[in-house]
Amino acid sequence: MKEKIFLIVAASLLFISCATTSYTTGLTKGEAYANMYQEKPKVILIMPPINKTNKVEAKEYFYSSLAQPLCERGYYVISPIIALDFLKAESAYNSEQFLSGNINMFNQFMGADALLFTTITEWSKTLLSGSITVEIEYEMRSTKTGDTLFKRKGTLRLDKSSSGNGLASLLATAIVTGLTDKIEAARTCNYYVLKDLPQGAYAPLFMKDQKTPSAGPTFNDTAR
Amino acid sequence: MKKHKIGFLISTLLVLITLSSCATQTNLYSWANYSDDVYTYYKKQTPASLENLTKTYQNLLEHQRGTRGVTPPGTYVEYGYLLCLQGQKQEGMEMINKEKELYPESTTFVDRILSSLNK
Repeated sequence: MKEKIFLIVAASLLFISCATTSYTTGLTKGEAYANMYQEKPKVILIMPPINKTNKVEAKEYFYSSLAQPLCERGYYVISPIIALDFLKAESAYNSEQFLSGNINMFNQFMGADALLFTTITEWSKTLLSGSITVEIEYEMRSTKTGDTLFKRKGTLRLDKSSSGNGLASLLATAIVTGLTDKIEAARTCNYYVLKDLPQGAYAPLFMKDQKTPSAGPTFNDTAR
Repeated sequence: MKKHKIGFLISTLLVLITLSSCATQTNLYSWANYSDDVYTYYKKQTPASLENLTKTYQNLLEHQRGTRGVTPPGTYVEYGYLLCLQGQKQEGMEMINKEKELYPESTTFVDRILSSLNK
């Protein structure tokens, strides 16, 4: 009898475990990001993040960790570290000036179909728990039409510390202060937000994910 | 007794499948320590950080276990650019040109790099 119950529990676990995420927004990606499906940008230029916090390093954590998740979404990403040299040479390093207005020169100059802007408004660490709180906005703009193709904004708490008290969790907190964990936190944030981005040309669901539920334009969540 | 054992075995198997099924993430590419190494190198250009980054590029070129089975965008071009800056211009240029072959949409950007290196 015991085994039977165990079997039933195990079997039901199997069914519920991989259920697709559902959101309360009721939006599909096709509805939330219609411009993305219309323009189908292939080449993305990551703009140096706009940092409105007093943590200078926050800009670099994000700048160095955006290419990877964006490539994983199926896009061709212009190498940020090389692009940086060009942007500096052209006095285009300050991204804020391109948030509105004509950005067609990035298409002519670098072959970018769209620019990805990020604006960081908070980057703070709780000393006790070691968790990092980020408030950030992501916006993708077309270099051809200037239209916004994708935009998400919100707060994400990145909790890397183990639960529970004692020496182990204190040690874990100490590790969180390491450099790798800050980049890891930025990367986790990028993955979290860009998960809602329609897949690009190199991903299996390119132009097939319009019906997928969208998490919507705002977020307030905890990621581990 | 035997029946119980089989039931237990099946349940254990099911639990194992459950645990493994959602854990495997399908990535398009392998990345090794790319973002850490690239951050560290550009933050502080030391012989050690250069060596780490170089090793990561070589690793990305040689070992791709992602579903696409090809090098991720930017690897050839970054590695080639780095080689050129260190005086290995011919090898670097060849590397950069491979980016165009693999990702033709990078042509405008790659040609821009090549012309800046030829100045």
